[in-house]
Amino acid sequence: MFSKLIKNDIKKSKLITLTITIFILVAAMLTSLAVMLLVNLLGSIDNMLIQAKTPHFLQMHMGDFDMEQLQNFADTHNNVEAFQVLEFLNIDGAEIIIADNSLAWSIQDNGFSTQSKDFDFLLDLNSEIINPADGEIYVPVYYMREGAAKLGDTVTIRDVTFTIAGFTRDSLMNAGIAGSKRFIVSENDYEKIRDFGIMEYLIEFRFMNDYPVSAFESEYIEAGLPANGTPAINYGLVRTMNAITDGIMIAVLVLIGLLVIAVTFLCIRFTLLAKVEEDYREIGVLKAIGLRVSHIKKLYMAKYSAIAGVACVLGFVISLFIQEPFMENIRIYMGKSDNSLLGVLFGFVGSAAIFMIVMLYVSGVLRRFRKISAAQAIRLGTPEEKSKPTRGLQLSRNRLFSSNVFLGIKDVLSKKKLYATMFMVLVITSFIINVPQNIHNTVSDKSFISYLGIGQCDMRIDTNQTQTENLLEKTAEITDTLKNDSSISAYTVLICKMFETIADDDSVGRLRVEIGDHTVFPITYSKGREPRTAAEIALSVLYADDLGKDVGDTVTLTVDGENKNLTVSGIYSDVTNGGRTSKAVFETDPSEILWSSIPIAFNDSSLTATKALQYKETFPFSRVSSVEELIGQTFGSTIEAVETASYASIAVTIMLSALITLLFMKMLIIKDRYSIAILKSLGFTGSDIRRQYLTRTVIVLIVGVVIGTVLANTAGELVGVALVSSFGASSFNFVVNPFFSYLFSPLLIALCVYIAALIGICDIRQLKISEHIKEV
Amino acid sequence: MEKIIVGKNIRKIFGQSDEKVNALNGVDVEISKGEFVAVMGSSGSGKSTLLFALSGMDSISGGSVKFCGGELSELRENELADIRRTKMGFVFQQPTMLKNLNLLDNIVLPALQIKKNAKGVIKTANTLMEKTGIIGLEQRATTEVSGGQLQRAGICRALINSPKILFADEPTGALNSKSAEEIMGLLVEINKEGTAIMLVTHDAKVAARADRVLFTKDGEIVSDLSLSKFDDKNIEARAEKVAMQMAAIGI
Repeated sequence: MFSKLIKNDIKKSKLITLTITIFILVAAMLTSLAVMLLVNLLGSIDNMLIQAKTPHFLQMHMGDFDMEQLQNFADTHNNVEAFQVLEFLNIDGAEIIIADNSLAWSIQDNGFSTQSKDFDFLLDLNSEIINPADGEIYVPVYYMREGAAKLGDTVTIRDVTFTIAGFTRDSLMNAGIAGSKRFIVSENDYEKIRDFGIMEYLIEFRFMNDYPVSAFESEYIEAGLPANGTPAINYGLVRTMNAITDGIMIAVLVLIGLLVIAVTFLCIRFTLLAKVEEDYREIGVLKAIGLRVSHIKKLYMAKYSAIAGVACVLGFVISLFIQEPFMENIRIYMGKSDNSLLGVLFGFVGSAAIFMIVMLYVSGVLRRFRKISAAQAIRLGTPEEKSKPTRGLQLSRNRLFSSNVFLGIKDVLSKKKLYATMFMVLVITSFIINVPQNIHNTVSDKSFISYLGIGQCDMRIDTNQTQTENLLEKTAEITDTLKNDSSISAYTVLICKMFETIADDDSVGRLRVEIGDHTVFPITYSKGREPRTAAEIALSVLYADDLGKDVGDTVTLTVDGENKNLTVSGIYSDVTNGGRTSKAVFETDPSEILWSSIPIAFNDSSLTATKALQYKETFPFSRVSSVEELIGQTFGSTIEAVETASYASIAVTIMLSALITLLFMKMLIIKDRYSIAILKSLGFTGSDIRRQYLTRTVIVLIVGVVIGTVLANTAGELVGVALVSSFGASSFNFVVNPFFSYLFSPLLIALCVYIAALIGICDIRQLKISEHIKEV
Repeated sequence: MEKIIVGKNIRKIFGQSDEKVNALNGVDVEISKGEFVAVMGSSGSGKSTLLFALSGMDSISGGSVKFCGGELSELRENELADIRRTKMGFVFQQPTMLKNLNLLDNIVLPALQIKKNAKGVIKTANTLMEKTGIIGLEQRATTEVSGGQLQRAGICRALINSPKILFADEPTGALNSKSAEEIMGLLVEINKEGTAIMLVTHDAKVAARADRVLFTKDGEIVSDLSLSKFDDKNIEARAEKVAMQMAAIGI
């Protein structure tokens, strides 16, 4: 009996059935896809970390160190399974020529290594440990994805030439935001280039079991072991850095999936209520002849379980086919996952969960069967209309609008609850189209770096110990040149130095402090403000968390041999240097500085690219990068993923707004068939009535899109914050493109809705008075 | 007498192929200016179908229907709508009101649609409401008045554009006997003022008020009974005459 009922019902309402099926299918597909990607991402990362034997703790260091002291430290820690120091030969990008193009554009620290003996192995794209032959080089996979290198290209460093034999998966430095990249050559070749750069060391430890890394890190610092390079990186951070790009994509898929589910619910609710209304008398009869509510519910749920079942299975199957392009990035950077079967299983569970949720929702909506009185249903045939005439608005007093426009307005005002569905859909579509676009605008905007610990400028000149041994002299040389450049509107010199900190429990730690005038290129503080006096310090979120400090608290530093109490003036997000930085303005002995940074602003920002080239040539010992380069190379792939998501969201918006409007109008006409018949009998033409429906559409459209756009650009920030916080920015403001947000997206939605409404109401013409006027 | 409606060989078929139903099977009918015609017949005999066919609310499958000399089937949708709005009025069994408008707005709706002088329309509406005994209920919602009051409002709406003919499909079917009496009294009065009426009913007492009663059976007019002009005093006798005719033709 059920199959016949379902078939008849589907035959009668093909469009509605199709629309709901599509929505459930898309929701199931997105959920299944997101779950599969997540399981595979985690699996691939774990696989890579296991195969590469990634260190649990890494500290970079420049200059001399006492190997014996390190060995003793490792020996005294029972949990240390292995310990090693690897060389990382830092060579300036300008000196690395890949197929005739130098890597001068790269803001990465490019280093050369040989394969490690014990752990932290560099893997090829088959996840095998690389052992390059003489003359061969394996290039970081990052440069392959950037299109800078391909198999068989030559890599020349001064007079030494290599051939690219493959690409390396580097569990530590794979991610764009890692900041350093490792090339691997044979030991013989390595000796040839040993003097071409500055040596840095990777001091690495592997633990036997889940030894707390933070405790190890403090003991390491307290022991005064070498630590003047990039701050310590631990296993958790490595996992996070590897997961960010694809993680963001998964998060966007989940976000879109949630919105599609919300719209599906609205759709189901609307169609189901309309259906119940249509079958009101029959439901009354079924109740009258003694059928239980649960039995009647089953009749309706049968159709939805069939639709949802088919849609969820199809959604799952489609997700299996379309996962490939989404998985490509994961596969290239991290290799195959052992979890692919598990991913499929979880993907299926995801689809099944959507099925369950839909059925629960349908069951919830059908609870209103209990409220239907059998007698009333049989007598009236339709539920009592809840709409009441709105007293203030009367046709007989209307002098402003035509009757058609008036009736359209009146209908919306007297049936607000009904139009709320359409309104919600428009608000949601405005969200879907605007939020990903705003996130894209925000992360690709120049000002975004100010949320990441870097002041907003046009260009930066960074000089560190790996690039020159006379850091102070070279920095002075740069500032002398900058002073005479009239195209520069502002610059400031920031130097970075390591200080000891004394915690409240008298334990000693180390704090990296960037010293200089932080008011020239201010960053955005999530709490408080920049340090302005010599007694103030601002901490990055991670440092503040480590030290347990908040704005107004005191931090004690040992500066030039004396303890100095500094008040925390502000806390900011930072993604540079492992997220552990601080900013202050006090005077200190300028020797032993780690690096200097000179942010620069030009009178005319369009000069930046030319100036960057000019200064790259003038100061080959420094890293000169425009802010666009900095953002592009650090977040390039992530921005690309968000950009793809933002285009996808435009497609989703068009589909959603058009389909839902079409469905809504069709349902509305079925629901209003009696009123339409009355109007026709009174001499209203089909086009008169269509005008009334278009008026209703336009009113809901205007209200929905205006409120949706405003909400997307304001409250949408909260959603954006949740996503962008994974970049390391804890608070930020949306960068809104007014043309897109306030013109393009509302017009696009309006156009889709209007066209869909026109199609949806064309049935009015065919509606026969005689068939409906008797139905009361 | 000037003919308002002339229907010749009207056919109406519902359904297709095997499931075809001949609802009207070659019906000829004429209605003159100011005439009051009742249509009677058992359920499914085609009386309502005839009303919809003659009023142009439903298309016909064959034959011809001329309204004031013009062939309805040749008119475009807009021209038909114009005729319905300006020259015809409709009253149905259930009060067909738009629930989100108050009584007055429902009544003036067909007149304001053609952008008539609003003040004049409201004045006419008030006159009609007074005549039908619902004055004072202008601002009431359709759910705040009785069935009888709603039907009176329906009559006011049907008359707001001073139509040539009023089509009434069982206008008293859903009313109690007192309200039905009152409504029929109103229709007779309207007819006396010159508006032709075509009324579909099951009730011999209701049909007894007409000048002529058409009896339908199996999609055909099987009898055309002429009555003298109605007079309040002879209602019972007329009703008996109608009932006898019904019995004679087996309705």
